[in-house]
Amino acid sequence: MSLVEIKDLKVHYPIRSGFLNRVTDKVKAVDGINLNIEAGETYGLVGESGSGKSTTGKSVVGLEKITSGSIKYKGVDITNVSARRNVNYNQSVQMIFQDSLSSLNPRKRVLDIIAEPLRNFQHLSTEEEKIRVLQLLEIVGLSPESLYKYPHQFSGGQRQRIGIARAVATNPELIIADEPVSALDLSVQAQVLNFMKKIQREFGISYLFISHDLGVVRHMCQNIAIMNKGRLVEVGTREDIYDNPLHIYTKRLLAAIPEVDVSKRQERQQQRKQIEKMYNEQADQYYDEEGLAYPLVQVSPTHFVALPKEQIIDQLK
Amino acid sequence: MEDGQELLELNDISTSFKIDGQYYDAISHINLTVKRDGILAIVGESGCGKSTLATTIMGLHDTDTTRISGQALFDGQDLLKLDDKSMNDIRGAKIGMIFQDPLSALNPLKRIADQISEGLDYHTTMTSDEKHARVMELLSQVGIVNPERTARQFPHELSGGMRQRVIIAIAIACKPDIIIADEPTTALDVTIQAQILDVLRGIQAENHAGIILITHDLGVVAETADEVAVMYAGEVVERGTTEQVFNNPQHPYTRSLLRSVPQGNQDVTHDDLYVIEGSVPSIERMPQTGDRFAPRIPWIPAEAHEENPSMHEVAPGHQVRCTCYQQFYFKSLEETNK
Repeated sequence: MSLVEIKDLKVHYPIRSGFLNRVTDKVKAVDGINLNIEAGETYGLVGESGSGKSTTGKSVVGLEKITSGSIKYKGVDITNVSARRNVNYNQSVQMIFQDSLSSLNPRKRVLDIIAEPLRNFQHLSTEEEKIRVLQLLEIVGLSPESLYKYPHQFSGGQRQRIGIARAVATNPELIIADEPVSALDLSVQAQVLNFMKKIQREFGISYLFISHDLGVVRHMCQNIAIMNKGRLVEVGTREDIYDNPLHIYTKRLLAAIPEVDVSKRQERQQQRKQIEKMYNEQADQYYDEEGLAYPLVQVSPTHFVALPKEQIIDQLK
Repeated sequence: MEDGQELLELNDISTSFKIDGQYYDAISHINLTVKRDGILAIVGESGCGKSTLATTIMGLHDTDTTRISGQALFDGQDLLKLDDKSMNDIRGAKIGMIFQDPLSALNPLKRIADQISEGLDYHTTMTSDEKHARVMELLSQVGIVNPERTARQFPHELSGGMRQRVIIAIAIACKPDIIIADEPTTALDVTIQAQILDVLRGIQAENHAGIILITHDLGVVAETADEVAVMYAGEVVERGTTEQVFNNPQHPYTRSLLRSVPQGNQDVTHDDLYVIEGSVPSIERMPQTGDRFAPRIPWIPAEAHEENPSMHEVAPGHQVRCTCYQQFYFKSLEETNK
């Protein structure tokens, strides 16, 4: 049994208009996705802005009201609030946000920020609480003096580490990391990613790693799902996605990443042009009449791609 | 117009900001040249002064709280000495600027066509028909499929990529000799980023402009720039052609930065990325003498650094600050993890 099983998750937002303000249409932010996260792994969810990746993350934490489908945590459907309480869900699932400045209360000290989840779930004395917060600060590599400082007194990387300390405070089993490093500089990004891996090794935490950065995802995740317009277009291991992408959207996304290797410059530009041309010519074959991706079809034990069956057979030839 | 002609020469530029009554250097002693038909990338992390350099060239600083020294020679005149009126004749006409956040750079209450022709109103004597034709031409040059329609729209009706194209159209409206692009693709998705960089390259080929591309993304630099200047803590620490800097990096900072890029061949649970020790000092705490990068490579002996670091030529056109590059080595992974 996987730690998390998401089945046919749909999140639709109603669009109201007209005289009676009736629901006239809906935005399909997430439209029927399935994925399983195993204990102790980092699962990558990749997509461009507006693909529904953050909505998926929020639904898993319970910040989004889902339209239909189920999210099972250790076999229990947590879309039901009372069931969620039984498995201590709100304590075992935490979130790291993209923008560390807006996700930390500017008027609270670091001590109060990190202790907030502890105060919600564990009943510690003031002294015990302080000891625990100091421990957490040490895990993320911040000095004990940080306790009484305010968020604005830290750099971006340090703030993101405060966010991580808060997320690991309750010893969670799953952390939803929504673009945890995209606002950070390269050298700070390296620090934060190393921390995330370190606490994973120590505490066996699973991550749902939501990102648009395919370079970072390749560094962090063994299993990856590519999301486009609310549906998954390709799911597979790191090798499946990077070495053998089958969906045009995945290919285009991969071709667009700028590489640090100067000698491959011409080659990469050629390749990008070629894929862009292919995308313009054949994009409609990869999407249904509504412009959405087809259901996923299995092409290997680990690799799934959203294409009609006939086409997959052609592709694999 | 010859290729490689020097358009803009920056000599010993320093800009300092007044903080609590005292001036602190945001950039110090910058020497760079921008050539016609070339893309010069200025790369560095946040706070290294790369945007300050752009705003200094454009004369966008409040002189009451900023002190600027040095020369920016353009077309035989020093941009830093010009009065407001002469600078207004250059801004937008001879030097165009592309900003990072297209939504806040556009006026939400004006139609796209009016925003593009604003520069034309100010700098040219075109009739309204000519202006309309020019706007259409510009919009198609930046790859907008239906220029007539887009021209009538407001910024909120366009996607992020479209807005950035409009910003580029505004910057190139008067065919400037120099385009300063400050993080032009940072707010965009990778596929859109690739398209915008293509547009920039195309414009450079057509207009024979010189482009200053300011970015923190090493991949973007490697794929777009002809020349690179790497900045750390307000100083240029290494400069050269893109091939020289990426294939044969010399300065410890450049080497460390390139090493911290995720490569994708590492193991997902066990392999860590290279981390540069410590952090960039704040502007008030910046050491005024010695090598500013020295505190971040403490295992390199102090004698390796110069007291007053200067640029050293390691190959024709390839320069490195401070002598410490000769003795620099990476700590082994075990030592780093201690």
